[in-house]
Amino acid sequence: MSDQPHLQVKDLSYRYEPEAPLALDGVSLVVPHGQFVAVLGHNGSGKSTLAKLLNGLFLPTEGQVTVSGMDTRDDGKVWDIRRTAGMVFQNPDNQLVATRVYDDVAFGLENIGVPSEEMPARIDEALKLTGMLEFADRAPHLLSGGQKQRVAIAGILAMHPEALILDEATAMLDPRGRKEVLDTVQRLNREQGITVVWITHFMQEAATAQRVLVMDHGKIAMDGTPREVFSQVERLRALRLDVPPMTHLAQLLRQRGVDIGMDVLSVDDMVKEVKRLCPSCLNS
Amino acid sequence: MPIVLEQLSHLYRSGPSTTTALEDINLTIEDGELLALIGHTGSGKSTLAQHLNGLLQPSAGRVLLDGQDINQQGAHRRALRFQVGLVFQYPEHQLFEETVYKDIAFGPKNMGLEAEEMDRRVRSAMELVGLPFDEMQGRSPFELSGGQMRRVALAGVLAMQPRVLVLDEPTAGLDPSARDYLLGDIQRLNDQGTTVVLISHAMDEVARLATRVAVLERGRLVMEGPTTDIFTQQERLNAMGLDIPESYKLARRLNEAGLDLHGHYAMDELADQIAQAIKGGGGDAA
Amino acid sequence: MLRDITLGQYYPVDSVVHRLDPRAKIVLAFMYIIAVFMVPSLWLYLPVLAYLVLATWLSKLPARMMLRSLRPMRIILIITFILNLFFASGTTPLLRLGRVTIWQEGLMNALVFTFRLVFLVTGSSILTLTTSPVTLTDGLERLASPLKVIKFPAHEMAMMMTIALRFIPTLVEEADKIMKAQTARGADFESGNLMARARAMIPLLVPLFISAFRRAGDLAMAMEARCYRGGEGRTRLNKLQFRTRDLLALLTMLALYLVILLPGWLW
Repeated sequence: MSDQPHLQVKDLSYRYEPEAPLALDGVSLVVPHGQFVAVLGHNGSGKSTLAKLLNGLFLPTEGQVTVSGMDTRDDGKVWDIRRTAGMVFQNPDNQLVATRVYDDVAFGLENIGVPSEEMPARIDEALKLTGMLEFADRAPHLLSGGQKQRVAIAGILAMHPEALILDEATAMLDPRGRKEVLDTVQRLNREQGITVVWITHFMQEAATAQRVLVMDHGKIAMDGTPREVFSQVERLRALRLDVPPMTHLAQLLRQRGVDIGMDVLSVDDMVKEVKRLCPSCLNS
Repeated sequence: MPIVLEQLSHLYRSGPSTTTALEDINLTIEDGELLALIGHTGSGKSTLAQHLNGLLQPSAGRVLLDGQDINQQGAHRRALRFQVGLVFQYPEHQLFEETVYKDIAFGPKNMGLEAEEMDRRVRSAMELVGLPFDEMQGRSPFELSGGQMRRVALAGVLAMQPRVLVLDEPTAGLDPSARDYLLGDIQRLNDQGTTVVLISHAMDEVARLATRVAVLERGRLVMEGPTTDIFTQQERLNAMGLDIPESYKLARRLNEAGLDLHGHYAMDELADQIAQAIKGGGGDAA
Repeated sequence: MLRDITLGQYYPVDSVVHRLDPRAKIVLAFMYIIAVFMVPSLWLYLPVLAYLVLATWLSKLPARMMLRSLRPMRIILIITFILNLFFASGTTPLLRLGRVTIWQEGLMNALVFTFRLVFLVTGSSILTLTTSPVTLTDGLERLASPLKVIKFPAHEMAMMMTIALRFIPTLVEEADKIMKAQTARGADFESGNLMARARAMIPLLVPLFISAFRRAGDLAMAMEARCYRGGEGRTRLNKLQFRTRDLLALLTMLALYLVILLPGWLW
């Protein structure tokens, strides 16, 4: 790993068709190696478009995107970029190709021309990292949504990527599946040092990230730690987003004249604040 | 017009093996209530929903609507089923007509309604879900946003004017603003007298809307009662792998530490009580 | 059930036939079909029968499984037999039923044609029973790959088959769901005449097609993101290896040819 930023976006604009309005409008962004960034924004804010520009599925209309120093507009680099920055999509059913989990994880390796002899070890390792090894022989359509997404992640891991871009990968999952996928990705970020771009509209998921970006009208509207971002309740509302329930409660308390900190994200934070404001209210 | 499930069981047969999807369910859905059905994927919620309007046949037991078995043979059966509207998960995937109007009119047309009545119903259904008639009725449903498409699909069921509305994960995959909008619609319908059965994984939504909660686990009805009574049983729900709403988690932590929070733990209720405690300078633990 | 279509007819046990290279098995099946057509006389079906029994035994396939493959064919078998029996003419009358004469040649013909069908169906079903669809696809792709020289899209065909196998269960499930949703809106898929029924399918088929196209779009994007760029420069997880046992299997087929054809050459 080098000192240069991992994902770098400079004055990036993008439109889907020549006459269409800008889907991204002058976005600049630097993501260092190993960072876990959550990207929020309502539908149509440009967050999915940004994801697809980050690994060269779309090419900039204007500006520049580089992944580990490789420019996505460099024709010779496109496959290296996609291998380096793997992508998981929203619909778990529509990204698995093979009729067996093991074969599906092999798909990417086959595409980049890994010799057959090296594949089994890499597939096993990837399935182990995502906790899917015991499902290696299953047919994908018999798995739960969360398991399918973990297979999709394993398919990328086998290619030894440096970044994972997840485009609303939990949107169609139930709470258990969401937790499975989030836990898996957090562990990969922590233990393997993989850079993560986590696009979501679940505020609670974003609250666990190192950094939160909020997109609106193709621009980055907010950028900071979860506490910095979520404490701006009014601004988030104006951007048609939720705030975590406890942040919402903190705002209600503030309206009732309680001098509570606005950077409350979790139940733990809230209990601490109540204790601070009224030591005699609570007995421990 | 209550719906009564009497010892309802459902078995799925796949090849030589059978799976029990529902086992001996006894449940009454009262007029005008907003009942939430919670449980894991695979706990039998969606199967139960499909029994409520006769899409599935019970392996044992009965489903009574107004005292009449909805699976009885005879002319009544269809009319009986139209009283219960079922909105599936991702209902926008069932849209097929060229225009929003025609799609919403599909149900009423199948009911054999007169053109005039049909028109009246389409208009009122669109109004109920906040779709402006003149602007939207002639548009193709496929050029709308995800949230709008879902509202068209909901209107398609509402136009049949069911007295009971069953919604399976109505907010799945929507962004926060579309979700809030839809939840508002559901609340409004219930306020106007429609009985609502809400299947959801989102406990905060359930806490916000439901008056009563029924919990399914592995095809059995394991808990049932007023929302507050259910969500205060954190251990039992956690043991089933179900979460409780954040507001209940907080209330429990603060109560254990000596505060005296009560009521339904709605956000502004909680805020009132906590603010009072803080300003009062202490609870009974002082 | 259709959910299990990924396995097709595949009967998953471990046998020497299961382990044969799919290319060898496809070639064997092909040669076997030609052999069945070349059998010159009724009694020479005996060696074919022997070959079939041996192959079934080596495949560890239960006999009833083989017979079951004939079941959908039973009407065709009966018609074949009757047509050949009654509508052939010959020189040696066997039986007179009023104005209809059954000739000995007719009976022979009827038996030959019926046996031919029986042997074709049971024999070729050994291929699908011992080879999973994925392996079969793999074998076909590689057998056809020399045809790439004349621009035959061998890899693309195989990829299409794999994707079809992967998505059929998903689409079947989806069709079931849409059907239920429309039934809940009062749609009636079961009554009415043919026209009415065809029209009733529209609310099912339109959403199903739209969904299939959406899935195709999503999948294309996902495949590109996973560095898919056609068959060029691709390696394969399963290297097919043509082993001694595959050669032996092909030699058994040559032996069958000899047994069938030798009598004709000698006499």
